Amino acid sequence: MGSELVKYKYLVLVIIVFVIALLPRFWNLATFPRSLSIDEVAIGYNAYSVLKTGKDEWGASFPLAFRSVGDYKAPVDVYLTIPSIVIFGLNEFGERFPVALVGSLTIVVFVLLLGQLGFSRPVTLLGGVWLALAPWHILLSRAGYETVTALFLVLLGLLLFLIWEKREKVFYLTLSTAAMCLSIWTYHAERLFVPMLGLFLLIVFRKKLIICLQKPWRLLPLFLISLILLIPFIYLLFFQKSISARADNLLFIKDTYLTSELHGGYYRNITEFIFNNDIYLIFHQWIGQYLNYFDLKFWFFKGLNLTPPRFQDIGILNIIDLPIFFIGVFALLKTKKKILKFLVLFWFIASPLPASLTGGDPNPYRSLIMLPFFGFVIASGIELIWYSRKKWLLIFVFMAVLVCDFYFSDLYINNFYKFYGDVWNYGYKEASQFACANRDKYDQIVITNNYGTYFDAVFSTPYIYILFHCQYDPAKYLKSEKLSGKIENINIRKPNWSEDKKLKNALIIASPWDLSNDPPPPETIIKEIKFIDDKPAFYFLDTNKIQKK
Amino acid sequence: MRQILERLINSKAKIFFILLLCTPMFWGIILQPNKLINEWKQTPVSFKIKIDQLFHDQQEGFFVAQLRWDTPSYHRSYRQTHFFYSLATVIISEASDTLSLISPKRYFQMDDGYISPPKIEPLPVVLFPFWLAGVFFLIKTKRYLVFVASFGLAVITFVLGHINFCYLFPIALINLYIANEGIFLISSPKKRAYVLILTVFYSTYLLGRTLWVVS
Repeated sequence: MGSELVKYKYLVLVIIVFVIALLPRFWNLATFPRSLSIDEVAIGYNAYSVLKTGKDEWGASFPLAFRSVGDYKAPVDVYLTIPSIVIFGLNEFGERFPVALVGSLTIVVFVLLLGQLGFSRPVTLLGGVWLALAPWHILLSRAGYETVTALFLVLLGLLLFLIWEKREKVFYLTLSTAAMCLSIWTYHAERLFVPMLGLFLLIVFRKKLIICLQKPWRLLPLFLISLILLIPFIYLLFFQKSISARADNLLFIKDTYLTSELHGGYYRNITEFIFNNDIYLIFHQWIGQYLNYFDLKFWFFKGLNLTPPRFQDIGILNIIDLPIFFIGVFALLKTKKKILKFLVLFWFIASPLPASLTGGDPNPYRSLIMLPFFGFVIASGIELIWYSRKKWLLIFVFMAVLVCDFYFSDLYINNFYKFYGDVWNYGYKEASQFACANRDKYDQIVITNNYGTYFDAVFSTPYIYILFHCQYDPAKYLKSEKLSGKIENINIRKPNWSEDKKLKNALIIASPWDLSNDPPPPETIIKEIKFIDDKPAFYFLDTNKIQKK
Repeated sequence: MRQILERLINSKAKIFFILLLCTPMFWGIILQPNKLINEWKQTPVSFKIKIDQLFHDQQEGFFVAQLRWDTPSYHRSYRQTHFFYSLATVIISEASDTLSLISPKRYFQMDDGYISPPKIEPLPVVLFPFWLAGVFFLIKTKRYLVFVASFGLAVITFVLGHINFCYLFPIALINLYIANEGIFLISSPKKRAYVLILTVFYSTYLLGRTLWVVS
């Protein structure tokens, strides 16, 4: 009875932690981020298209890779969005709901996982609260990122594996395998990380797995599920371009700095072949990308890129996490929990690998798989403090976490959109909806695909915003000509006002940069959309106003 | 001969010295003393420029104003914006560059564009796993002075304003010491010898590459 009560109390506390996770992830979810990113609209519209027609926007029936805007999205999040669109409609909330929910559920899985790794119940709950309030995870959970769903599946797979290890029921091992295989279909980083994790678990738990193999028929469901989930993946990887196309776009080898250095097999002389060969150059570049993820500044000060360089920002962890992290490292080095030690070491070395294969600066979106490493270390630090005589320190720590979260919320709600509203295609929703609402009124509507806050730096694909925000009939869109740059009478191109002003009965939706050479008369401007800091984003120009003059 | 080798492999100081000879950064400094001295001569001036830059009113005028912004149509909480964005927070943010000065990439991959050989890592990257092991070992044995010293030297370098190995080489030496500690976690002298041989071979390659790049 006593233990039942304790279990019940623990369950209630886990639910409370879950509710704590829900709050920052669902608060004004439809409003912040202030606009849907191109990935969000693409996922949302493709989900809508599959719902209505059984095909994606390109006409592929129930695809396993969504061509979308040429990035061949992994399918899990798209299919996960379908029930949400059925319930909530094709809008911001409907699109973001699944990942926000999965992100909140990740906290529950993390709490249970900490329990399986040997942490005490109070520590698992505090670790869960830490993750619930982690800005990095909140930021990605609110913006429909596939990496959040993938991380959930990896952690779920690991949890189920550890439950199998304790209870020795093959059912859990089967579910674990299914979750991990599904994560490979969810995000690209897991395609490299999960096989490594699988190998790690195979090595560490080999004795238990060998015992399992003595009754191989019990493993039949596991093998079947693995085959069902992995064979199509292998087919797509080797015989279709859908998976390799994405890798091709992102690989660090495509960085212009490196491509300008590579020789492509042609060397001037033997010394160049020995001392400046492509193998060394690629290795040298890759090691730089890998070591980028071991930068303390990226961890604690400038990781989330909510502001431009040199502006204050926030790391992938809060500044208050810094001392707890080092306490956690010390605690882990002293701990007798061998599995935890090995797991953390493995995660530390292996988790930056997928992101390190991509180009550019350290990326918080591609490296979310590193988050559990920090979670385990922070939990170890919390445990050391909890069992010391200075438990009261944790009150101070979590109050500081809340202050950091308020700081994060201000950066996120205000400054992120001031600096990067154009990168997130802010304004295209209103522009698309106005264009659709007025398409019968005009012979032609032109909408620019090039705009920006400070200059015309952003090249967008407005067609997908038009499809999403106008809830364009997918069956009708499937019959239309793709890549034509047109949706009915809406043309997507950079306006040339000098010529376009001669068009009869046309609406030109242009950025200020499209009009800088030939400013339009003020009476032609019938509407204006501004960025949140009042800088102009779009001008709506009615050519009829010129004709009348 | 065997005894000499045994004494070599079992001596931390000797291994450290060999590792030092294997680092391109070391040779960059030894062979370009004029660059080093010229850089040090500029220390008072660069220090003054850095301090001026950090505490200049423009910091508040530009960075802080950009973050505290509001418009006639968009109001923000005065208390919140002034609490989160101020000259103090801008300086803390700038000072966080110090942490980048102790990141492993700076020592195991990036050249400094000045005194360390170009396009060559200052410390051989094969030492990185041992450096990691050394970091864990030093934390476990509570030898924090090494990290405090690293951080302190990084702060000095940051404040002096010039980010290159004329100022960072003490931290590079500390990293080499940490890697040395990591190597000595290998209990078998034979395996330690293999590590050393690997490092020497790799460093010889780096030396050849340095000569090729310079020529």
